[in-house]
Amino acid sequence: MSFSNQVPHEMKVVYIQRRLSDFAECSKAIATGDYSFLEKVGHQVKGNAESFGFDALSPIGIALETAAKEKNIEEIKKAVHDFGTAVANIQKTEL
Amino acid sequence: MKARIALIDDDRDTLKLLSNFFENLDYTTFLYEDALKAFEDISNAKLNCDVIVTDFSLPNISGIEFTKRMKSLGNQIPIILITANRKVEVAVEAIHAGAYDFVVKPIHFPQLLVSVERALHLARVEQDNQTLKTVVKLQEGTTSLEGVIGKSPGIKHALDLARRVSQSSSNVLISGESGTGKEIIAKTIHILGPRKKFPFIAINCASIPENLLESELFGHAKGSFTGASEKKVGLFEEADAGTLFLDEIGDLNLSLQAKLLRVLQERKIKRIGENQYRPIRARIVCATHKNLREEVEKKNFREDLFFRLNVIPIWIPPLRERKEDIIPLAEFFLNKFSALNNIRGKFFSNDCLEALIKHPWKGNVRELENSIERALVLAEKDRIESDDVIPIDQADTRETSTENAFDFSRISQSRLLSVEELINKYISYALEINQGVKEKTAKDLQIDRKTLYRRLKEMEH
Repeated sequence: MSFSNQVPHEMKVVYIQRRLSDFAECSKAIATGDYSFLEKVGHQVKGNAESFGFDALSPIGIALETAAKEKNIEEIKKAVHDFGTAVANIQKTEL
Repeated sequence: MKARIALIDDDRDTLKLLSNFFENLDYTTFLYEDALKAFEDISNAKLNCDVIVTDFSLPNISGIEFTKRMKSLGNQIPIILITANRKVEVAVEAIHAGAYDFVVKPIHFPQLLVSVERALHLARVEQDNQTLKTVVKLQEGTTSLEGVIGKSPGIKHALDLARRVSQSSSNVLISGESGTGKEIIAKTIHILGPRKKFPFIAINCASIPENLLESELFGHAKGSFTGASEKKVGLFEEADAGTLFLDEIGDLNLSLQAKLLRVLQERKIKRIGENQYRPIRARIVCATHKNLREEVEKKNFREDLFFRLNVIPIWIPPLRERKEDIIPLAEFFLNKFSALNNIRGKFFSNDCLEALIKHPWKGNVRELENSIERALVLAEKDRIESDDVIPIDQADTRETSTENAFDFSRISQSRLLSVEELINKYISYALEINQGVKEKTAKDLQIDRKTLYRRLKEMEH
């Protein structure tokens, strides 16, 4: 379990803003077939989300990373969609 | 004084998070997104840190590979790996690679803090232990290969030669500028070989008056000359089957050179005032800061003696030609004098480290050692700044030498110097800068050596 109360609020805000930016880039990456980028985003979110206190994002990161490695476009689209929804929800409710 | 932590992670968000956490606790952090860059900076002494926290999964080299490379350098900085993989095999691999600890994601900051503090504590204990060993060795008057610090090609070559020659009895001639550590190399040769059980006797041929040097080396019979109230055993005999180190052999007068040559040829000596020959078993190691080939050319040194001594030549480069050794040496001396003076917690600032590397160290390792000792004792804060080690008024030693300084203001304030006088003053100045080495002086002045010698001879009259 991460200690989210260790993370300053402003750092959380910046984190979510960067994830929103990642979401926008992921949508472009799906169109261009840039699986490498999608895998990288998934890997990073998998690794760092819980440390920032956003536990819900971690399994989405795992799903995105796995789907990108397998080049499974359907699963990628689903994971990116979930990613965008979760990030927007966090921004709306927590920050 | 809080520690310096290097943080390595290709994820900038995590890097900032970690940095923010430790900086809020007054640690100093250094951030790297690339482990290879961190490795290079540590290897080149650009990064000076107390502990490293690195992610396991990195693009160029992994955290494990980074750890292995650090350990292969013999680097003792504790490394803590952060991994998302909870498998036991990963943890075991990390420890086998040399990591101090591993932390599993998501990062539990208090746990990471405990791990970092324990790593720092262990590093301090090990450093204290190593320093104590060094102090004990210093107090016992011994030196070891660890007393020669360096990873530069020049010093490694010198050490390699010392190691190889230690097993033989061949004469060795060590050359190098003053303060480069010629005696330490001589001791290293002694300690590494089978003669280590026997004495290591050192004498500086330049520091003993000529009329006493012969007696020191060969000994004398009682009453053999005025003042010889007792018989004396000379150093050749005292060294027994050990090593006799003759420092500044280039300063031996021609008469003693002839006697030394006979000793080397026949392996026996006669005490002053006696007829009896005594065999000697010592191995002879000599050292000089002079260019003995030049001294031979000038007829100041016997050619036959030079060839007899120069069986194994070992040259020690000046410190300015082994810049990569400056920081390790400085850290060694800092630890040494901290232990001797019971001082804790002092460290070099980054500016100081830069200044140490840039300084010319004309007095070589000896000058560096003296500077570090002075800085440690006089620095008021824990952080040692560049001014503490290299005071501004000593940044260029040429400025302190007023007798030969090339000062234009003196030309305008007093009578005008003749061209000859000006040239002579400049030659003297250049010779001083080059510590009396005429070959280098001639090269710097862009004149041939014969011209320089002629000028110097003329200046004597």
